[in-house]
Amino acid sequence: MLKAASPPRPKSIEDLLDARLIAQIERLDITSRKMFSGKLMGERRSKKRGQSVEFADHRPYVMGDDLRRIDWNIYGRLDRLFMKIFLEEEDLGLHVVIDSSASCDTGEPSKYLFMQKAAMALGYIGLVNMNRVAATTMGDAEGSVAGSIKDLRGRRRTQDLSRFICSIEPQGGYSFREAAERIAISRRGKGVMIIFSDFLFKDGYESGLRLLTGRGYDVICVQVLSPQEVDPPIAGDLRLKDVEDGDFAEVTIAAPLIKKYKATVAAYCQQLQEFCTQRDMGYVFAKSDLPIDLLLLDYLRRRGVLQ
Amino acid sequence: MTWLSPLLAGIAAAIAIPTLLILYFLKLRRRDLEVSTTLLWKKAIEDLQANAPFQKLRRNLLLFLQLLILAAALLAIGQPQIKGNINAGQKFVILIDRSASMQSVDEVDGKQMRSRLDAAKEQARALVDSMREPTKLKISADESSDEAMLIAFDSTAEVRQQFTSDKASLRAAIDAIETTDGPGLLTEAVQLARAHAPKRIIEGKTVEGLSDEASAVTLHLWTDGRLSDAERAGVSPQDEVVLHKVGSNESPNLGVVTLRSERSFEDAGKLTIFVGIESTDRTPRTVDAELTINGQPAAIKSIQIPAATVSRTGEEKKEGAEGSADARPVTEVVKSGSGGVVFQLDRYEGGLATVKLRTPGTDSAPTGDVFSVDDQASIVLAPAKKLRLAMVSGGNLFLRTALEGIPTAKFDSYATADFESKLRARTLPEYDCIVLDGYVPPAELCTGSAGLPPGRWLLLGTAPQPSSGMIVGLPQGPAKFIEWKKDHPALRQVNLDEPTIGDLPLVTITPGSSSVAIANTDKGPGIVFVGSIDTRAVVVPFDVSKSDWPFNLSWVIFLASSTRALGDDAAGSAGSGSQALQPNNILSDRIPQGATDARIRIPGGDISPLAPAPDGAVVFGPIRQQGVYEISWSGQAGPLDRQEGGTAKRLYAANLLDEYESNITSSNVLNLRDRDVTARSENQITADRKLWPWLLLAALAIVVFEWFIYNRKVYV
Repeated sequence: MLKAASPPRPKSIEDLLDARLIAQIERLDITSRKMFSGKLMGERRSKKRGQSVEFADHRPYVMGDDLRRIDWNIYGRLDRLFMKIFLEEEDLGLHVVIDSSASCDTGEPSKYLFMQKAAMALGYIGLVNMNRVAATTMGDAEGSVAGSIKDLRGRRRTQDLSRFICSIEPQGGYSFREAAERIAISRRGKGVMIIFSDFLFKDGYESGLRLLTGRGYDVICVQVLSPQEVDPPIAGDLRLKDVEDGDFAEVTIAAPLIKKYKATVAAYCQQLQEFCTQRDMGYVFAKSDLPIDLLLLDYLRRRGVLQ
Repeated sequence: MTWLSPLLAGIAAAIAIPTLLILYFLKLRRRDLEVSTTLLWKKAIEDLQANAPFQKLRRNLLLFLQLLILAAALLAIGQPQIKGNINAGQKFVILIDRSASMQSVDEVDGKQMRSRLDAAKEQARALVDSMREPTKLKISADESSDEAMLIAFDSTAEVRQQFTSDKASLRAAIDAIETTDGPGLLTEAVQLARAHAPKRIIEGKTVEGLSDEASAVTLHLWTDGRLSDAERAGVSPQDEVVLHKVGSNESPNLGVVTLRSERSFEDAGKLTIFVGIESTDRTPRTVDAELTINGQPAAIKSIQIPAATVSRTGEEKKEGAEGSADARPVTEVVKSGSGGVVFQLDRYEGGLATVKLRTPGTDSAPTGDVFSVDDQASIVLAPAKKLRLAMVSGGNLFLRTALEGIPTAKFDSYATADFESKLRARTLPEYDCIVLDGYVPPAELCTGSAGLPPGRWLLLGTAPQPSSGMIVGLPQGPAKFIEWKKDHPALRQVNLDEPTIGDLPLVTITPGSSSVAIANTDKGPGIVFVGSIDTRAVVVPFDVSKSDWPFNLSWVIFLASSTRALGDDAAGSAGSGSQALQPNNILSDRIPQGATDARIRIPGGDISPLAPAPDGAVVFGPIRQQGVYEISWSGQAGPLDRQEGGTAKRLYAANLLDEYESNITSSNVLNLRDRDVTARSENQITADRKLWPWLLLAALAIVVFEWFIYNRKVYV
């Protein structure tokens, strides 16, 4: 909640992923509740029938079909040409979206650092499992997208991903709807999209999320709040200044207001969760003091994002 | 409970409480804090505010505490007090008796005893403390403050503080009051109080309606009731008199109430000192009276003083009975037991005689005596002296015979020519008094300021030069004395009823001159006293031989008295006289002309310079303490003055010597001229207990508590 004087900034992948965490997540893989077709052959079964070894179905032969896939055994029995159809194995698109607004650069531990680490860990899992990995940071820039990196695949691209994640400095505010629109427009294909944000948007998160889910992504919203936002350790007569837009709120913080505030936070999170659930999106709530391994191994795995 | 300034408190509350609430609403002086978003806070506040307009103030402990602090402060501004016995805007006159009897130490103060004056001052201070204080913001007439004036009195009264509402000034003035050794008199104090009472002007009337009648005041009188003139003191009917009695009516006191010395007429060396002693003890007392002359013990005598007697005056008020309005309240009157002792001494010299009362066989004051002022008294003794007398006459047998009968140290008779030649040649021996029979020195020899040569003169059948202010005209025929000044020393014990004057000349006295008629006949002044700086004369302007006065006993007495008076005046009195004073009197005397470096030493030992008038008159006082006062100067000494080196000294003895004041038994009832005032049964002033200091303390305690709560809220 409170803005730190000099928030920590990771400089390299070592600052984002330590060896112990890598060991823990090495065996994980990104999964999706939906099966998506990919552009390249990946290590994943797709609902799209293809050239994999796993038989799926037959269909009548039409002119021009690959003669190698004619099921000669059926022809021998029925004297009709049938094509063997196999389940095609596809790569999975993983799109990590990070909120780099100033509001995320608050809290102790920093929310933004938490998001960077979590995004890097997920990206790493995606890369080592030969998924297509993309990362986008939403922030104070034209089109509300501060930067993005796309089409990463393979373990060797982890450095590229980490450089991108470390390069974005959180600042200012932006329009989530605008950012979602840009992401939706620019994104080709389908996949899993994990959005790290506090979702504290004054103009609302609903329209933005609708745009993202409308494109068929398997969207997982990870709402990250700092412990201070959940349980404010402040009291007295205060003039609260919004770090994004400089808006002021004059409050006299006493027990009743604290109680009301906590109820408001809980209701806000609840609304977001309900919104996500209703639109077949995943929702994960995380405080910034949550260990990353716990987020990955427990929270996301339970929600079917990782396996 | 009463409120001294409720309206002010109300106005302050009307301003302060909304201001505090507005400040809470405006939330001024808030601490800035950066947060990730104000979104959730605003939502929370909106929800709270949506429930009630004052939701943000609800259950706000800090605001509640601040309201409590404010309430305590506002209540303090209202100046609440409980058990108030004083109405708004009253005017008091505080009269405090500072007479000698107020020195009596018979008031209990815890385990110690204190004087009556100390007790009176404390009670007066309590009254001042209970006064309604001035309000800075005077909104209505009801909020006017009390005012008080302070008068201290003994036999004289003085305003120590004019009407004021300033308590500090009043307290300081009360503290500054000290007792004197003089008697107490109330009349002047009451008159002074009435004179200073504020005037009342009736509004809406014509000029005739303007009244200079003083508005009612309350006189708070602190006294022990030993005020001998109380029955002559009148107060206005609308004035209230509150008597605060101090002292006990059972306090024992033995005191010297009279002290007088006489020399024998036949043998001036035989000195008799009379000492009157009174006791207020309810039991007979034996006491030693010690006489010292010039500090040396001369005699000691033991005397038993009978017990004081107690009588009751006034009427008991009977319940149910129709009590008369004039019924006087019952009071105990203590009549002192009195006794006396006489010392007889053979002493020609003068000196200072002091009588002290002692517990028999000891050197200490009488046991249980609570009033020490009258335990001793002093008197200045003049040396024994016989007159040196001369007569200038053509041979008056009656006169010569009468004068020879007077005990004198020296008596000479001169023929007029012989006398005149000696006077001219300045070879005349020194006489205390010279009798001129039908003769007056010629004008060129009359160098004195009263138509005579300097000296003391008795003129018979003649008159001084007209410069004396006394002009003798044509004879008017027979005359009779119709009135004379019996208290004049020259006419002491002289009865002029019988003498018939054969031929009285017309005597005219110039107004403002040094001549004054001391006996008047039906045809004008019969005997005249001429007194100036250097000359004193008793003038009988008619021819005594042409009257029947020489055949009357009063003739001899007149000669004796007048020559003695003139001689004493020249030689100084034979005791007391002008050298006996009472505290609160003014010491006024004459020292020889040309005296320089005059100064006076008062009983405490302090010395003050004196500035004698050209005629030698010196004035000091009023004197407040009893004891011996000594005037000294450089230069010629008077006949009775002590001469030490080049310094002359004259003593004066100031004594209380007041039997009314020495009877220190205080009275519950003061009988004034037109009413009887009974002392309050409870002498404690029910001073209003002010609550506002406690309210401010409570406010302070709440501030501390608030600080504690605030810190808990911030850091816990």
